[in-house]
Amino acid sequence: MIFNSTTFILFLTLVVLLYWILPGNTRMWMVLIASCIFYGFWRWEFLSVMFVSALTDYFTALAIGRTPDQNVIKKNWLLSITLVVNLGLLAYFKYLYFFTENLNGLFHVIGFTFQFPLIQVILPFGISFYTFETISYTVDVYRGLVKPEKNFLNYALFVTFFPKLVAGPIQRAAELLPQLKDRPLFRLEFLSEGLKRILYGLFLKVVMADNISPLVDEGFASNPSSLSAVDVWTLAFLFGFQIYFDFSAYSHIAVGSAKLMGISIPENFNYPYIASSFKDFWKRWHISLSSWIRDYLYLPLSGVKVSKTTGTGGIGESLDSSNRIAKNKSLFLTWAIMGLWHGANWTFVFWGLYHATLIFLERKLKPIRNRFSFLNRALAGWIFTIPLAMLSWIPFRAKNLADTFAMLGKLVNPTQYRFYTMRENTYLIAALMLFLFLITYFVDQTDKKFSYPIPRFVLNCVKFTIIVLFVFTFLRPISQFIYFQF
Amino acid sequence: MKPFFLLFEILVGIALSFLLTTVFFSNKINFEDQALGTETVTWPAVDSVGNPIHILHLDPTETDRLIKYWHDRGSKEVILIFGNSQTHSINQRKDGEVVFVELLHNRLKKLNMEILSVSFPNASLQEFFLAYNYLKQRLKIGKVIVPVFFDDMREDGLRDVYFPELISERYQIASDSTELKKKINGELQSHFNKANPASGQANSTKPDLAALKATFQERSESLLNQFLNEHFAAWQNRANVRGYFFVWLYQLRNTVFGINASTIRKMIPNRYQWNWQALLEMTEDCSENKIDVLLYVPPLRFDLPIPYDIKMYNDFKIKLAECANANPRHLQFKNYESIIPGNLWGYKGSTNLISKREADYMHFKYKGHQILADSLFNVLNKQVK
Repeated sequence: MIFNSTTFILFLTLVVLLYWILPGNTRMWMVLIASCIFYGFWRWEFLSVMFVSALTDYFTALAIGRTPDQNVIKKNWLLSITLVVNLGLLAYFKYLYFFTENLNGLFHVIGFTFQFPLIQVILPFGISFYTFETISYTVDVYRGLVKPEKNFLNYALFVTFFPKLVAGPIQRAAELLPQLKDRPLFRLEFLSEGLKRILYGLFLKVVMADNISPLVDEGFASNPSSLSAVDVWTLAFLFGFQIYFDFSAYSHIAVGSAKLMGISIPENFNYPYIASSFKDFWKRWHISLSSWIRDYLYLPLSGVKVSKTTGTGGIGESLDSSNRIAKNKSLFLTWAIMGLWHGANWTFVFWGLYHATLIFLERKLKPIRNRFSFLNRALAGWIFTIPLAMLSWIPFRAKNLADTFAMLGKLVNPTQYRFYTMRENTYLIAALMLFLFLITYFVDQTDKKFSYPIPRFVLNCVKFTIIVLFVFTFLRPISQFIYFQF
Repeated sequence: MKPFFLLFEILVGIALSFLLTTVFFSNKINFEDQALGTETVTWPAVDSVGNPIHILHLDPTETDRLIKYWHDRGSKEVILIFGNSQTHSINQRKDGEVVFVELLHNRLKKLNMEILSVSFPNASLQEFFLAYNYLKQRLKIGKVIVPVFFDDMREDGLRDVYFPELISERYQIASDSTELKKKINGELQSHFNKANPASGQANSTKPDLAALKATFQERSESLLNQFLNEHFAAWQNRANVRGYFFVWLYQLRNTVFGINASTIRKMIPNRYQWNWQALLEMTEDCSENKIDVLLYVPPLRFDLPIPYDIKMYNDFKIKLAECANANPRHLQFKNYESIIPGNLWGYKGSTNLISKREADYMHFKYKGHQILADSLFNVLNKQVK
């Protein structure tokens, strides 16, 4: 089911009403059934894939929990089962075509005539998200950070809970399971906060992201050779804002929908384009994924023992490992995998390595950065970080690596800055988005300290009237959320 | 107390927004007419008994009627005139006044010649190319008249509202032999996909549900939308509010940046190239099919400074003449840019939030239509002789 639709609004209203009316376990069964309906509205047959992943982890986690700590071999075997099943599902549904296509390409280069048949497989919605959640659960049990959940209803709800099912935030068992067990009593705060977040999310999606999308689509559909450097920068910024509005919208609605049921799920964004470094950026962008990558990939690869599990904080760890080569290797490997997680295309691998390179350089330049005062460091950092972060969206959105390099190549040619080729509105909207983003940030930061000449109640009523008017007017499922494809 | 206030603020917002949508935005507006301004009206040509000879959309009803009456008149070889809003509208129209297409039709009838026209507001040459490819299968075309508007070289893409018939029929230009044909066919296919998410049935609300292709939600969403449209005026008004909002944004932009009808607009290279390519491929195809083509530079208002980059505009005219000269057997070029004097042009509603009206560089009065009809008639008459 798509959040930006009337069907979802009706569905959510019914679920929330029933949630607060029904007693005890019935309530939780209702949420489980509702989550299956939510998923089944897309393709019901793919529910089975989700349950294969969920059941595997449920039983292996229980088995790991029963295994004495001394029996490391058995625990490792059980963990391997989880990894093989979940990563196998991901490999089949997400990467089969990519791998066979590249393997065939390699065969061709080395002179083999044999070619594997190319099989197009439908990618089940949310597979990248729920497999990561189930893996993290079993790994946390293996590490002794959480106890295995014996109650299947609670466990199934942890995996299928519909607000975060399709595009996150990626939830940790330690954060969600206790909330599912301690069912809260109704508080008015749940309703008001939940509604507020859902309205913010719908506004960002149907008003902002969906209206930027045609400009971005037209720009990226152009032949890259005909674009100028000004166009490439503009498209990078525009797509940067589109994907931010789109994805943060999803997260707002997910957080808001869960809040209506008294359940807190972690924040995924915190003004990422205000970041003054790449370390800072990754503490603000897709926080639940970067935290996951940190705890289950980057730290283990770097040889660091993980002693806590939390979906917050991001990936901005700077390790004190003495083995610099291992540290750098794990940095680049982590980011290549992070790129590949986003999509089965070399453009995403390039995107990951681009970020790894910038983080690597940032670490190398840290002593120089530290010579500046905090304010100068923050301002200079922002001036460098934001354009480079925006440029990373070029490979993320371009059709292939050839287009990516053609577009990025424009930026180093001074003659390409002398003209522009898109409609004037495109440049105007890109500039407006940056301006509005900064204004919103500063208003948000100073709002509580500022005394307005008009009562705050009136201002808030005007704010919500405008938001509701726009959401009501623009609410149409004309496009899916971008992260659905991952 | 805080959650209560927040909830109250949200509820006030919901109530006020419904009130605003229902009360203040209930008037339907025709955005095509709004773009023309209050002084100009759309007036497509008809024959002596009122049957259409001029259509503004390639939709099943309009196209079928055009072709039926053409058959009724004897299926003669057709002179097909393409155009934009200049072709189908009259500034400060009075009773009995008609567009140049109708004037030309009445005069050519005496010479036993048949004329038909297809025009779309702000039409790009890519849209002409598509319409030409489609209509050449259904009509016996002997000549094509193409006004090449410098203004419309800024346009790109196929607008689904003007080609519903082609989209519902899954029409594709035969042979994907060129990049342009691939582009146009791709856009047609994409419009078809948007209009037919699952059922294969065209439906005007379907483009709004494009993300729900072949899912259960597509059906539930259609039913809910239908129910809400039937029972809530506010829901029906949503498209209207969106329209008001975009018009207001457009006017706000023009006000802030001082843009008006006289502001010089730069060429957009990508779009210019695609449109130029469309013209080249259309004239090539015409030559191969022994269809004559008359390319003309349309009339422009010269009593005021023109809103074009003069050098670019001159280059464009030279290129157009060269294009025609390359194949003099089938192609003819005329420059009608200055045939209509300044007093035959009018004004249109303002495109910003401050001034009340602006000079109209596109639409002229009836006498202007007479002059253009005379000019075209002279060319066509000479060829008959």
